[in-house]
Parts: sequence; C-alpha cells; structure tokens
Amino acid sequence: MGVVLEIRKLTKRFGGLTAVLDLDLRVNESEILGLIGPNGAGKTTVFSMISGFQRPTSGQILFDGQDLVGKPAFAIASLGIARLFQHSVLFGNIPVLENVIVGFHRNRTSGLLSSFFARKKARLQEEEFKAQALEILEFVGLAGLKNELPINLPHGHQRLLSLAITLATKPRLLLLDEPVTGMNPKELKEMVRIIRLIRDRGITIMLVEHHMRVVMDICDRVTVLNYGVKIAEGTPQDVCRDPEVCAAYLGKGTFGVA
Amino acid sequence: MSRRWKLWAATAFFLIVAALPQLVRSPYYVHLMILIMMNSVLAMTFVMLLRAGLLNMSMAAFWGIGAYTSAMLTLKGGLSFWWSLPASVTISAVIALVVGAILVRNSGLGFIIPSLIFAFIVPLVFGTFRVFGGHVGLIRVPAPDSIPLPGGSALMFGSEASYYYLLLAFAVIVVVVLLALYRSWVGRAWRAMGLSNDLAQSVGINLFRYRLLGFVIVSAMAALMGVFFAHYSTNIQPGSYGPFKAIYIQMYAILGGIGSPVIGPIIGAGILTVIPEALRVVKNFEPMVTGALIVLILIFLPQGITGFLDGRSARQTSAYLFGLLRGHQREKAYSLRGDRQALEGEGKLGESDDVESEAG
Amino acid sequence: MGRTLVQLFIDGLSMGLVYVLMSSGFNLVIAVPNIIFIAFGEFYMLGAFVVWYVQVPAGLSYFIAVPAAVIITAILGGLSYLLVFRPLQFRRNQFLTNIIAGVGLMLILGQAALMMFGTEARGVPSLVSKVCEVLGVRISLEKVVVILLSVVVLAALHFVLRRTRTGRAMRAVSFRPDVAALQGVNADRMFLVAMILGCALAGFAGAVMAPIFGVDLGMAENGFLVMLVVMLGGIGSMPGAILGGLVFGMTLSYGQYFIGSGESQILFFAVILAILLFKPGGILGKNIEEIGHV
Repeated sequence: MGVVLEIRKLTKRFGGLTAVLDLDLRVNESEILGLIGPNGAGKTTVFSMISGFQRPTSGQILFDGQDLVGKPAFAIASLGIARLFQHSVLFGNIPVLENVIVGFHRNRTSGLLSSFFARKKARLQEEEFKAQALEILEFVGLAGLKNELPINLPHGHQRLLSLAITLATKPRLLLLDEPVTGMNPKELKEMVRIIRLIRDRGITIMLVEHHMRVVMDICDRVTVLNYGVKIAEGTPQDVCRDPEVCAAYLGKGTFGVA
Repeated sequence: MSRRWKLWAATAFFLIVAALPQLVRSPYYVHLMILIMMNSVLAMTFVMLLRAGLLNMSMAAFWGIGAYTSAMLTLKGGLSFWWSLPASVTISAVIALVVGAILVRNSGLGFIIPSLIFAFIVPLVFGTFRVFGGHVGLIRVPAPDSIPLPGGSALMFGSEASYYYLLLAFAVIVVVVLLALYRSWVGRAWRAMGLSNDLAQSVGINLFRYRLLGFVIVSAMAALMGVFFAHYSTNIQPGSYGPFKAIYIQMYAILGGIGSPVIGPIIGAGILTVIPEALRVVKNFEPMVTGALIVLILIFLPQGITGFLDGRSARQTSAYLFGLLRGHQREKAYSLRGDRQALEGEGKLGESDDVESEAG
Repeated sequence: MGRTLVQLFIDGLSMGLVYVLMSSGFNLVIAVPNIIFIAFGEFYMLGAFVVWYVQVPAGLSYFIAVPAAVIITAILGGLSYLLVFRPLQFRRNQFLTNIIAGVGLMLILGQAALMMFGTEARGVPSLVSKVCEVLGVRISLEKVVVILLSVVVLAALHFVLRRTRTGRAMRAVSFRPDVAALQGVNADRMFLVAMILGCALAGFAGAVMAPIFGVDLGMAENGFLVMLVVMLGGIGSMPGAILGGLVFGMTLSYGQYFIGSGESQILFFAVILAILLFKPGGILGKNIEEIGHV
C-alpha cells in the first residue's frame, strides 16, 4: 500500500508559542487516520498546514512525493487534497446544488472562451456537472434540499453540505476537521456511515475528532497529539490503553470506554 | 418560464432604449440619457467586481485614464478616434494589469484603501503636469470621424443622437460580455470568492488570478466609457475623474441594489443622474435634496431599490419601516444596559419585537 | 520673501498639528463606530465658519467663537450619528453604506454651508496678530498659538482616552464591542460619544485655523486629505494620527516650497501607497481585518 501523505519533522511556531513540534506522520492509501488530542494540541494547525492555509516554520509535507510546503492553498486543493473546515464554511447565499457545483472547479474543462465560442460544449458540461452534483447530494442524503440556501439549513445538514462540496473536488486525500461535532446521534450515525463509504471508494481520510466512540469505530490508525507533540500512535485499541494518552486526557473531554 | 420571459423583456427593453432618441427630440434629454447610460455601465462593472469580493475605488481613475489617453492620442498624436479607441482601451488595460497585480494581492480593506489612494493620485497627476493640460484640462478633443457608409453617405457624429447610438453600441457590448462572464466558470469563481475566500481556495480557485482578471476587465470597461466621454464632451478636466466620481459610482450601485447585476445599476444611475438635473430648478437646495435622498434610501431601502422591489408585501414593508423608526434593530444588538429601567423598557419592546420580526 | 527652514518648520508644525487633531477625530470615528466618515471635512469647515460668524457679524471675541464652534460641531456630529448612522447599523453592507451615507451628509452640510455663508472666502481677525522675532527669524505668533492650543487639546484627548471611564469604555468598544458589552458598556452610547468627540475635534481644528488661512468652502476638501493621513499613520491608531499628521504637515510645508504643491502631494500619495501595500493597516495601524468587512 502506498503512502499518500508523509509529514516529516513538521514544526509551527507562533512567536513564542510552539503549536506543533517535530511531527512525523504517515498516511497510507485508503486508510482512515485519526488525529486526536486534547483541545489546543495543534490538530487543526496541522490541517491548516497540510492544506496550505498556514505555512510551517519548518519541516516537510510530502503528498505523493511532492513537497507541499510553500504552495498556496488553491494549488494544494488542485492537487487533490480537500478539507472540511471545523466551522461549516459554505457559500451561504447560493442554492445547495450550486454550492456543490462550485466544488467541481478544478475538474472543469471548459474555460472562459467556451462561453463565447463553444457554447454547446459549455452547456453540455453544465448539465454534466449538474447531474454529478445531484449524485453527490444523493450520496450524502441532501438531494431533496438542492434548492435551499445553506444559511437556512440546520447544523447537521450544513456539515453534510460541506462534505458534499469536498467530494465534488474528487479528492485523493480528505481532511475532516471534527465532522460530527454538534450532531445528534442520528446524524452522527449517518455521517459515520458516509465516511466509511467514502473510504471504500478509495479516498484516503485524515480525521480530527473529539468524539472518541467515532474515532474507535472508524479509524484504522490513530495518532495522538498533546501540546503539539506526538505522544502515541497505533491502532485505536493500543492508543486507548496507552497510559500517557490517558494522562493527557485526564480531566478533559469524553474518553469513552471501548 | 424565467428564461423565456427574461429574453423577451430584455429585447423589449433594448428596443425601447434604442428608440428613445427618436421619441424624445430634445437634445438635452438625450444628453441626460447618455449620462445615465454611461453611469449605468460604470456601476454595472463595479457591481461585478464587488460580487467577487473587491470594492474597487479606482474605477473613476481608469475612466479618467481612458479619457485622457484617447484625448492625448487624438489631440497630440493625431490619431483618428477609431484607432485611438482600441489603442486607449488596450493601454488602459495594460496599466490595469500592472496596477492590479500589485493591488489585488490583498483583499478587503487592504485592497480598498490602496485603490482609493490610486483614485486620488491619478487625477492629481493629470492636473499637475502641464502635458496633460494641468488644472484646466484638455479642450477641443475631436469628435469621432464619420463612418463612411456604402452608397456614398456617411455616419456623422455631431448630434446628440449619434453619440447616443455610439454609446449604446458600447453598452451592449459591455452588457453582453458581463452576462457571459457571469454565466461562465469565471463568474462562478467570482461569486464563490465573494462569498467565502477560504472555501473558494479549498476547491482550487486561484484568488489572485481571478481577482486580477476581474480588475483588468472592469478597468478596461471603465476606460472604454472614458474614451467615449472624452470625445463626447470634447473637453476633460482632471477633477471629474477623482474620488468623488468613484464614490458616486458606488452610490449608483448601492442605491439601485447590488443584488441585481444589470437593472439595479441602471436604476441607481438613473436616479442619481436625473434628480440633480431635475432639481436644478431649485438650484439652491439641490445638493441638499440629493444628499437627503441618498441618506433616506440608504436607511429605508437597505437592499437598494431593486432589493426593495423584490417581492415585499405592503405589510412587511410598513412593519419594517416602523421598526426602523423606533430603532428596534439596534435594541437587538449587543449593547447591554445595566439599569433596570432599560430592562423594563426592553421588555415592552420585546413584545412588539415579536410582531415585527414575524412580519419582516 | 524667502522663507527660511525655521519658518517652514513652524508652518509645517502648525499645519501638521491641525491635521493631527483632525486625524485623531477621524480615527476616533473609525475605531469606535467603524465609520469612514466622508463628511468629516465639512465639520472642519463649519468650525471655521462659526468662528467667522461669531467674530465678524456678531462681533464677539475669539474666546467665545472657538467654544461655540466646538459646541456646534459637536451637536451636529451627534445628530449625524443619531439620524443617519445609527439607523444604518447591522446591515450586510454596513461599511459601504456608511461611506455613501457620508457622501449624502456631505452634500447636505456642504450645501447648507453654502446657503448660509455664500461663496466668498472670508478673513477672520486673529487673536494675536503679532509677528515676533526669535533668533533673527520672523515667526508668526499666530502659528505658535495654534501649535500650543493643539498640543493642549491633544494632551487633553489623550487624558480622556486613557484616564477617564468614558475614554476607556470607548477604547474597549473599539477593540471588541461584544466583550465591552459584557462589561456593561453601552456600545451605542460610546459610538455617539466618539462621533461627537470626533466632530468636535474637527470643528476645533477649523476654528483654530480660521485666523491663519481664512474661511472658505474649499476647506471641506481637507477631509479627504485627512483620510489619507489616517491611512498613512494607521487606521484607528492615535499615535499613528500624530505621526501621519506631522509627516503630512511637514511634507506640505517643505514640499510646497521646494517642489510645488501638486507634485509634493503626488509624491506624498505615492509614498503612502507604497507603504500601504506592505503594511495595509498603515504604519502603526491596528489589524485592519477587524474593521470593515464589505
């Protein structure tokens, strides 16, 4: 199995504060890797650096062998890394279907000139994208809401829509930042099911999550961060029994029983 | 139904607009309509860039750059209008490319303010250096050469109406390009950027490239209007191309409603061009009335006029207006009042609040 | 009539301080209620007009004229907030609408001034019309008075902002209105106070400058220049206002003499533009992302 993402000695300092220190990480193809740790451990910062929204102080991030450090966010997205933000970031004032279609941006083949000179081609692609977008919406279960505005949707649906948009980019690596936070049990089950299906389609997933049950349930491997430093790695069961991990979580968060 | 209906409406509108100079014979009114058309186009392009997330204050500057370039090329360079036109627009576009490359690196206020400064500098440059005519500007900018027609006669540019149709041709081109852009992937990317920078980047949209593209296009269109204006009014002064105009362009857009890409700007430009003229009778009060009108529209019609007309029931409207006057909007805001009186007052207001929020 | 460097310095200092006063006022209105107040220049002009009106037709002394100017501009500033800017709060395009509302106000106030005072420039008798000689250089005492008054007012402003409850409340609101609200600060009232104070500063600046430069309608254009000065020194930053104002005053003074008015302005703007491209908030500005999301 190939290594999709390799992180070497990744470090991020904000002035005097070290958010991430010398992180080594590997994500294998088609696996679901969980990234957990108490609040403030640096997990979202790691995602930011991978996706290009923040620049590491030092270290390398290799995606299929290519170093991502220094590349702008849109370029990284174009390479096939998609990110689900912690707070649902959506295109609030356009319909749900449109939101998903925007996601096809990197996969479009008709450019500006087509709208003038190759109208038919452009129109065909429009319809193609519309169909594909609907497919994705069906996959996440939002097909019925395709004309709604995201600002009118409840939280759970917004999360699903965010997920749908990331799927539209046809990513190779999907970064999910707390996908189930704020969801009720029913929505949660649904999200977990969908994530599994995504993995089954061959997409590699990195998951940041606080909900331990979910982590244990779907992650193949788990990496634990505390104060920016990796303190444990392995299968969910191994990690859960690691005394250092328990110490880190003591008194914080929901460390569910296996 | 939408598509069909819109096409018919647009055609009808176009026919009416094209027929206007024949129906309204007075050159003064045609002059007004020319101004309205030009300002509408400026406003439309402003809105396009605004929807991409850029509040461009340098449009008036490029309007001026287009005007001055063409004036210089024809007056001092001896070029005919028909050569100067593409040349000036191209030159302006190149300038926009350079300036834009520097400006659009930032977004939000980091773009707005430098563009405002650019808006200050350009007319200042034109006004300071004698080669551009200094304070006084340039006069006797030549009219466009007549276009020879098959059959011996020619299209002359002397009457108001002739300029009207020239501008109409330009305006149509601009609108067609605008609408095509909106419908293309470029328009989609712009809209995405305007709604969320982060998410747009996450799906692979190159913010810099699309912003620059928008900036150059918009500036070139403004320059096109400038070229027309220079040859239409035959004299140009630096003062008309300054930050004042830049703000007026924004006003055309906002008053008309930025939700609408074409009609809103036309309405906004129409009102702000006509009212000052119409009120010339009351010359003493005119700016005051215009100013008051601006403020009133801003307060009572927050989405501009098109936003307002976009399906509001009478009941909703009046409830909204009353709410405004009573200031209930700000009560809902994050200002806490510690004293009891205020809380009691708040309670009373809270009741009627529900009624209001139900209605609008 | 050669002007020596010292004279230019005094000119620059007095002009600069006036711009500092105005920039401080402008900054106050930007930082607290987050309004880019386009009509600000009108208050400067009005201050000068009031001074003229009080002294010339009414024949009262300068010492009544200046406070009158300050009071009237303060009142007008407060009204502007209550009638125009407060109803416009919490809109989606608030930043932009504030700008445009400022234009509306500018038209209204400008025209009102025109109607009341007519178009000619007027002179105002000065408080101290002496010119004294210091170290062989002729210095207009007038300008020294301006300098002193400005410094006093600025010091007072500093005191108010740092030491009084209201001042601190305003600063709290300028940083985080929501947090300030949690502390019992009525943001709305602070906006009003900031606006009143800001406009009063403009009025004072106009009043103080009236004896030196006369009074005419063109004065309102200084409002635009103030905007640029503020952007240079840093939006929302008081030290920045001082820096920007002084630099501008000096540039104008020396620039006008050595290079020429138009060119020095262009140079100034070009420099500001260059600086802003690297430091978008101005030299000492606060994080501009906090202000004005269109």
